[in-house]
Amino acid sequence: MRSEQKVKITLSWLGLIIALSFFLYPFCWMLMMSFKSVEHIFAWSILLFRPTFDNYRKLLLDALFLRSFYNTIIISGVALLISIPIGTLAGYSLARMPSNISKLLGFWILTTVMFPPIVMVIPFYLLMQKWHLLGTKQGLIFVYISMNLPLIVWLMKGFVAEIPSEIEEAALVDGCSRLRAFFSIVIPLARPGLITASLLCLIVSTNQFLFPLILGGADARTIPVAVVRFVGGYSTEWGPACAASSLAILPVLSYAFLARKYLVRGMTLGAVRG
Amino acid sequence: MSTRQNLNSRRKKISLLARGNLEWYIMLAPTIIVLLVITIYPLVYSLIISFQSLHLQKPNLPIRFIGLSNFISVVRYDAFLKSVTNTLLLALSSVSIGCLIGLGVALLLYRIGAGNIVLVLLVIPMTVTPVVSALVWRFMYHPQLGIINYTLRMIGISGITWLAKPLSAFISIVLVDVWQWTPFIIFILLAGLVSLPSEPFESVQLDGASSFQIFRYLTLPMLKKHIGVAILFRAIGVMKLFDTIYVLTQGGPGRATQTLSIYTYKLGFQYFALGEAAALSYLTLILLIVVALIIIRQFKLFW
Repeated sequence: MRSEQKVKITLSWLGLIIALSFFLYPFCWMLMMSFKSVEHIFAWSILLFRPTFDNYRKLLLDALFLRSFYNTIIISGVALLISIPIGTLAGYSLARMPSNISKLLGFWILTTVMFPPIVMVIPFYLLMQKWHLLGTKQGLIFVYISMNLPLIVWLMKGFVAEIPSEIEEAALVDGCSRLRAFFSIVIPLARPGLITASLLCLIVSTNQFLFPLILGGADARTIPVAVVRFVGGYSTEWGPACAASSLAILPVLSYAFLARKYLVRGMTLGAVRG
Repeated sequence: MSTRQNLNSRRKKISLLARGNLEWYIMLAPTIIVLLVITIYPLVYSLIISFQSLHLQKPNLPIRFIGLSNFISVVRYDAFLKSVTNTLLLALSSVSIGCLIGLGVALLLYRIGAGNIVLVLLVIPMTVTPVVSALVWRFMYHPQLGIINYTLRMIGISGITWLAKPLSAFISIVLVDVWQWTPFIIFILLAGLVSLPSEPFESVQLDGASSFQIFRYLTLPMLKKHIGVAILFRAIGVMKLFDTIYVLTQGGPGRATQTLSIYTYKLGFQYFALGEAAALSYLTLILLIVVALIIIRQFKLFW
């Protein structure tokens, strides 16, 4: 038994390393390009070059670029902070309420994400113009919230449905209010789901390109828009673009790093699941 | 239906609404209000445009109400059917490959209990700005300067022009999408795996079930709903995909990778037929709804 376990674990690690190499390869490639100066980017030999920090130096001294980091964190963060409670409550109620209505409402919530962004932009533009929200952080926050909600609702609906309702029922019988049961019982049990949902929403929001491009202004310039500045119609400044992209992953990566413990609580129970 | 049955079903409907399940509606209210406000206007506006003969290049033409003729002309275009097939094919390939890889990796991660650093690293493909990562991939696909052909040349295969031929261009896009969004599936499935109750697994192990049996008869069915949600959101995401395809192939060569969203963009912003573009986007919406319904039905996503 011991050695069989060992073989399995070695094979699993092998599989994992292969998968990781696949997922990280382009990023490593991009990272490598960010340290190259212009002559080396199109050179024949791919691996031999003298690394330079020039690209990064240019970026970190660029106030506009730094400002976009600030903007993105505020906009995505606030949108997340607002969407999570609203969405989780909705997901919880959809998971627990009688099924005929929950089907309808759940599906309608889903349809709000089905419109391709390219189509939403013009009406959004006109709407925001009317409400004086163009180019403001609040405007984008509002748009991001509407994008986050369906994902959060459906993810949390799934995670809450896994939690047996007996526990809440018992609490309700003892006189606990539904809301209190939600906060003290359901939330702690659904924590991995909550963190996963928040991470995925953060990723989707910070990577939005079309909406901040058209609906944002100086105050709401987000990272993707700032990064794409280096990509021209005819030529691309590869060095700075790659450096900018590499820096751009830092906010979300830090969040994932800080939240990693909560992402998969109980991983050590691992071997039993097949 | 007899009168007795009629009365009973009506009674059920009334009691459902009157039952003072007010708390559910209060909990749902903020979500519904936000979504209602933010989506009603664009939807209604696009609907109105789709019924009009709006054309940006001919601003002097009066905007007339032309009913369904935008819809009819769009459906008649050759490009329409091609873009529908492309969209569906893309969704099918990307989601199925993504699920296979995603499930595999999620299981591996779960079994190993591998350091959480692995998870953090897996976030990277999703967080790199799509436009830039598409560009990097485009560079990698370059027949002479790209790293992919460089590696292939080392093992003797030469001269694949990835983005220039219809089939390979399609595959290239699937590859980029799988690369970028499979971690999404991994995260959802992993969180699902973690939340599964451990008792069934322990008792089954005592009975001496093999790993494969555990997986096939216990893990997989229990994960069904999570897999369903992952597939649902991924399918919708792929069918809306725009940036990546635009950067890599602009829908080419020819129409090989022209999906509905690229086609909508071309109709609206290259040919300036805004009315038809709006009509096409409504047709896209209908397609997405149908696909979503199929997925929901298949995985019984309504508890």
